[in-house]
Amino acid sequence: MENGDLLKVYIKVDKERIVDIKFQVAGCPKTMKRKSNKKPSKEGGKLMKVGVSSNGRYLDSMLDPRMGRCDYFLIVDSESKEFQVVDNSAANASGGAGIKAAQTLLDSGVEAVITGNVGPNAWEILQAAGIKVYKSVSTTVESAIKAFNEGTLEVIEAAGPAHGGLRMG
Amino acid sequence: MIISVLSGKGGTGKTLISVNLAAVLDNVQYLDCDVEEPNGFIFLKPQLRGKEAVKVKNPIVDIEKCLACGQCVKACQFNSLALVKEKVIIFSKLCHSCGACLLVCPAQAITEIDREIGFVEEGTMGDLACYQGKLQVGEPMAIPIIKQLKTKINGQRNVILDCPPGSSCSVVNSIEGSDYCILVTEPTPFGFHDLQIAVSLVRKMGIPFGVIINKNQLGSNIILNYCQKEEIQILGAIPFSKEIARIYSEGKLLANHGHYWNRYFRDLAHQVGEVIGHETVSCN
Repeated sequence: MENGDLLKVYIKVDKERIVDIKFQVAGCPKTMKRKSNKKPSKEGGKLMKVGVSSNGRYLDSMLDPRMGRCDYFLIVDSESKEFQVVDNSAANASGGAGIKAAQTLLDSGVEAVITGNVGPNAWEILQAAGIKVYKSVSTTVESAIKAFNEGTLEVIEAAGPAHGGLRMG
Repeated sequence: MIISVLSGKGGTGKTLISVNLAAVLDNVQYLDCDVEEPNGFIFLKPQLRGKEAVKVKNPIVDIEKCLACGQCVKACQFNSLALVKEKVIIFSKLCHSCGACLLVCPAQAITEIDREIGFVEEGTMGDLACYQGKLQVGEPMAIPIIKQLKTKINGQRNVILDCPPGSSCSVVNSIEGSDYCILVTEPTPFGFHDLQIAVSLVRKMGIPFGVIINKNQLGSNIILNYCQKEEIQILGAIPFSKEIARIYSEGKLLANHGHYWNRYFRDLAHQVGEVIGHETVSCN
């Protein structure tokens, strides 16, 4: 640290693994700003199988902000960009679409999900499965993955409104 | 004779018509099937006699026996089950109690338990028998309550069914088995739009019906023109009146306010009785 800025780093260790890391800064506005930008998770950048809700079957398809009611999930290897397409059979379900979609994602072995909104039921499933959810809207699947790799995607930390997909669709 | 009162659009006057009909007829059972927000008892003021719980069956999983095979999740047509990390998660509010998960489980790990979702209540006012169902706040499924409520129907009596608004499952279940439907509407674009949906519903179900135009104003012929074109019987009109609104807002029966309105609802009952050729429609 230059200019006499003060930096305090906190780490939380569980069974010899770092499970959480935080830091506090006191210093010039520039430094402070860097701190507030630092919100994104460190998981981004790690090699992962990521499920992305999508309007289409390709990497340049638009990301669909609706998780339960999107047409497809693209299951993308975050590093090699290799992907497979999974139809979202929940898209036309009369009820419980989020639950079914979350189950589809789980069964395809994803470790993280990128979408716009996750309702309370789907949230319960993804939480129980320990799958992290990242928020992204109005972008292509490819650039969402890029942002994920760069660690700039916001982590979704609570369930959004129920039936969000029905309102948007 | 079973008469159902429905509307399509909410707030057009189903309860106004239902409670006043119930009040002028003889040998009546009044059933408030609007179980999300029953309000007929406010007007009929019955003396409450009894209350019974409405319960639905929901699955529970014995973790000791469960093989985490996921058969139950696949079998569930309502997406109320999920398999996460070899554990079944149950979303009870989506469960339709069909029992498919029990049938497919190879390990007999699933059993059913009762879950209370509301109640059915009954009371009397003179010789008028009143029933209402009430769904607990936060519960999404009204059908089990409506079904239990309808077990109270006595075929020997005149039955007035005060239906929920809309034209979805809860309305279909309410009007099923009715001899006649009264469609209450108002001369607004919303009233008209939802009336058309209600008309296609009762036509599909093959139940004879007629229309009452509530909050009627001279010059607004939107409902009138439609009914004439479609050859739908208009049973009557009730004017858009501050006086009626006042009586209603005080929780009073219009039929008790002067001869005109008492006569009006008796005539309405006679009209319906004539259409379906029923002779037991008599008034007190």
